[in-house]
Amino acid sequence: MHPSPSLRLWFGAMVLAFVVLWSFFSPRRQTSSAPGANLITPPSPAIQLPSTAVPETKRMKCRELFQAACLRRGITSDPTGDVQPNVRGEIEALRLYEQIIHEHPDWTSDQVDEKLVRNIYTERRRKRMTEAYGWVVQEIKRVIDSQTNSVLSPSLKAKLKERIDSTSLELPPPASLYESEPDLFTKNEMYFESLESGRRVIRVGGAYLLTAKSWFNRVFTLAHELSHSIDPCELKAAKIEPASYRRLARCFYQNKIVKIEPDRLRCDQKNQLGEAFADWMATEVTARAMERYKEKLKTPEDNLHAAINSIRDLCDQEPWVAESETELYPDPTIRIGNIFAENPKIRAILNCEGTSDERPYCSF
Amino acid sequence: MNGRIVLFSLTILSGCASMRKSENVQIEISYQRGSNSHRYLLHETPLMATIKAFKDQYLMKEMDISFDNFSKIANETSSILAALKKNPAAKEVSPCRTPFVLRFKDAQENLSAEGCRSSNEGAALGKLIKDVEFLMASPAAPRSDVRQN
Repeated sequence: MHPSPSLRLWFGAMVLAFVVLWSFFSPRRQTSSAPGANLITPPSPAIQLPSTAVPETKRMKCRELFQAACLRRGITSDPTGDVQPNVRGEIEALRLYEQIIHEHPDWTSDQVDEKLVRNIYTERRRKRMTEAYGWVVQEIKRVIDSQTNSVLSPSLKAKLKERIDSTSLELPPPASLYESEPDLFTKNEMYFESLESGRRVIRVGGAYLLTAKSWFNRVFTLAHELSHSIDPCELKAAKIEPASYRRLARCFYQNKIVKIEPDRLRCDQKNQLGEAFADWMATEVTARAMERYKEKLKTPEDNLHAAINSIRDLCDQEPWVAESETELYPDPTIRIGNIFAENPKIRAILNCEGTSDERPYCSF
Repeated sequence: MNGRIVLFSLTILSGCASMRKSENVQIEISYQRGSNSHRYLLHETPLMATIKAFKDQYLMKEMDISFDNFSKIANETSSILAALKKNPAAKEVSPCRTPFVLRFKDAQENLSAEGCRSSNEGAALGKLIKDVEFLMASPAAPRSDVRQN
């Protein structure tokens, strides 16, 4: 019943040939990381695309980026990391919260919160955020400086950059830093707010720190929030109303990005302009990030995955319970399809086929 | 004179609190932050008190709570609503990115307030939400804790 020596020799040769061929042609994962030395590169999970999603070909239609990003099942890894589903981080944070209460039944909610933030907002995770934030601050200021003086006057540029610089990224501990928003510790959210004290802050939910490992996701999200410090409605509240912003608002309306005519914009209603502006600026910053670190994005798939992870958080949004005539945010298909995917730099990086929209991409 | 007013107010408040005990009482705390909506629905009937937490349209957690804990949250809600009636949590200087709605309903009253959490007056809502979340993360109320009529 034993195989003959010649058969064993033939079988051994086949195995050796297979190993040699596999070592040449097997897909390799990028193990080096983009900016930020402490980025995590988890193994790439198998990605299953639903039948409605676009196939990952070398040339895609950028208009279909929404489908590629939002109808995708599974987790997308780019060379800098991945973005876990929102709910996963929130469940993990809630488990930590419950565990602390269980282990310390005599503790007050303040004590529990303090322990929770020390477990979640670790030095390593805080550093990951602050490094990305520092990069985003510099890049938004570069975008401002790159405008001609006829578009943004030197004094306006100085005001905008001052607002960028004076906005703070607030990261606990201590837990009391989020005294008015203690529920944020277990949420996968990041937000910008002008406080009545005059301070402008960006706050980051604990669950976000647990889920967003992709550098490109952090760049887009932080750039979006920081852009609110110079968005048309925040500037209007500060009695700054540049002509270039009015032109931009008209362009957003003409390109069907916002629903309300610019002349009717009052910023005391949910007019979508602030959110559209923040998406538009964050897209420019993300495109620059992808250009700057193109040596890390070696394949078309790397570029596509970095783009998908950048905008992954735009896929899900809910109407507010007290919403009136319009929603606060433009629809996700518009945010991704008409803003992100229409940016000329993004189109070039993703090597999109076909021409862009017939309407020109909006600029200052 | 002021002492009389305070005494009179306390009498009314304690009367309201005691009246609420055997009725259907509903409390809703809804707020938005970023593109996410959060909602807590608390409901007390003569038989039990429950709490439900929603994120967007999804029910995240549902549990029974003790009548004592419900009463604490109800009193805190009433206090916040009374304070917001005097000083609305409106934000004057810039757009509100953290809007909220707070509602309280029983047989006698149907109160509600809207506002912005980042206003000075709206900050009180953070404490209420924290108390609700702490309650939900604590061990569930045993059935024996539920009032038997």
